[in-house]
Amino acid sequence: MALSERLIKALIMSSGLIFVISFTLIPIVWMVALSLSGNPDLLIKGDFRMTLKNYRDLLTSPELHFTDYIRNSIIVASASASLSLTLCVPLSYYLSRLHRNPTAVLFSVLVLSMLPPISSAIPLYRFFASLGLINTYVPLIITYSVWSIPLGTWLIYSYINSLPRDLDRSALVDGASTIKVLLYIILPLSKPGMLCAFVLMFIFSFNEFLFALLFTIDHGSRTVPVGIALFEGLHGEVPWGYITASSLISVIPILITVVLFQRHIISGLTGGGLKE
Amino acid sequence: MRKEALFALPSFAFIFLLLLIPLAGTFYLSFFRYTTFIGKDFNFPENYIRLFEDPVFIKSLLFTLQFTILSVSLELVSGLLTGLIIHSSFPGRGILRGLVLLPWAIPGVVSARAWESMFNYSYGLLNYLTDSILGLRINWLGNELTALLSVAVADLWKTTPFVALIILAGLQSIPEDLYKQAKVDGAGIFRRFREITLPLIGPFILVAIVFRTVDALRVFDLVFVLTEGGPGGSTTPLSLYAYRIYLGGDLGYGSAVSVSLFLISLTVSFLLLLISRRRHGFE
Repeated sequence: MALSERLIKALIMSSGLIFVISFTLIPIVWMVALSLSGNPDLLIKGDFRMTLKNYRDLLTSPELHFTDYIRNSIIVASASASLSLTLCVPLSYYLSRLHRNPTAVLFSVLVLSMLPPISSAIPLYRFFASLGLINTYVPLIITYSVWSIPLGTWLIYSYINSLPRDLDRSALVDGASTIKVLLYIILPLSKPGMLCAFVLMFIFSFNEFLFALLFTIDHGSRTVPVGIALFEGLHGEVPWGYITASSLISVIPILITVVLFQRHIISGLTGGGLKE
Repeated sequence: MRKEALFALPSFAFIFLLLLIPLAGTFYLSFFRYTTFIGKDFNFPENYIRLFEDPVFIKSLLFTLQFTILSVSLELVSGLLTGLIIHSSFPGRGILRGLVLLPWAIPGVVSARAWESMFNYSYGLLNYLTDSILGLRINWLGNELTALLSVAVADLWKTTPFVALIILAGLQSIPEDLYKQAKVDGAGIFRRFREITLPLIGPFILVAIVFRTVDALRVFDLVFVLTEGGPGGSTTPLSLYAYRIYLGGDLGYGSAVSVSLFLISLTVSFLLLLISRRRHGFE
């Protein structure tokens, strides 16, 4: 009985494991193969001729603008995540310590993050266009920071809410102002929560597509996802080598972040604190 | 207003000015007809009447709903499976958790390109396999049915990690003693799953359904890259349809399409939140 049960469990687990791993990896492996093969026509005939040409071109030829896209994406994503953090931290502190009914506010904020971006896109576009800001970093940084507020507030709120209240309460009793409590007590203590929020907001902004497609025109501000989506060969052919290689290069910053912060991300999102 | 509310003011001002006002602006735009070089004139409710008479809109609406139902149900199954796997302990679990997270963290455009390289007629791995085994090539992205399935599979790949994470949170909240007690009472593995695991992670499954449904309704980048809305417009979701109309310069009608998508998402999320609150007293 116990043995057969363990056997069933082991069978389900291992077949599930094999399925999950191969389903996750196969598309990535196929992209790697395409990006490393000089000629996809030959690859599908089973003749794999390895070359690093696609990667070299992307990183060295300025006319492909891929390095511009990477620079733009990193600037936009770090700026918007920082801006969003400065907005979310005071709000989270307020909701956790000074507000009577934080869940109601949190849920209304959450509903906002569920809206379809296209439903607010055109008035925003007209607003930024009237200020002459299209094809600069500004519209993307501002828009992403707004759309990151729900995620950031949820994460930072739950972190601040898990901190013991005695410290800040006694500081208040001793006559410190709420701003001083936030700056000198809450802020230093909630660094891990803020780090997790920053990472996730960075990933969100780095990956966003619709606003980036609308608010950018060329390599001056175009971000990586738009660059990859609009890649076209000089002669109208689909440049599979460049597309797959650029996709894989753009995954590298995300990959490093996920590997470094895997435990923070999981515990932040599952609300498990940062212990485990 | 109390002085402390100033802490909330910056974020609320940002949300109000850059999210709610533009949303209201889309409603406003949808009341007008825009003609290039001539300007706009108030024509409410004509843009909305046009929606019902527009076969392309109806087709796009149907695709959006089909895609949402299909992909969310597939994602629940695979997310549950993946969640159970990354919850149980085995050597290398940390690495596996990182690996499983990867599709969720990479840009949607990249995952669309990855699946395009799988489904592509000439260079795709799938046709490489069917060709070498069966001597047969399938135009995966060129037929309405296979294109719908392809989009759903690509979405499944991208979002299974998210569902799995929520399920993992649910599984971590179940006290281990419950299982021990059930084992002592002689409940088998399937019975324990059905009578302990499923009911206790029920609220988490509902949360996953809510998030995934509203997210699937607004799908954009995946189809923009993978199928470009084709073949024959059969995989054009509402947000892509609105985008195309905007590009054509018809701001009024495009806004009416955007408003209808907004109202659908709002209704669906309210219904789902209502159900979850009623069934689980869950907020």
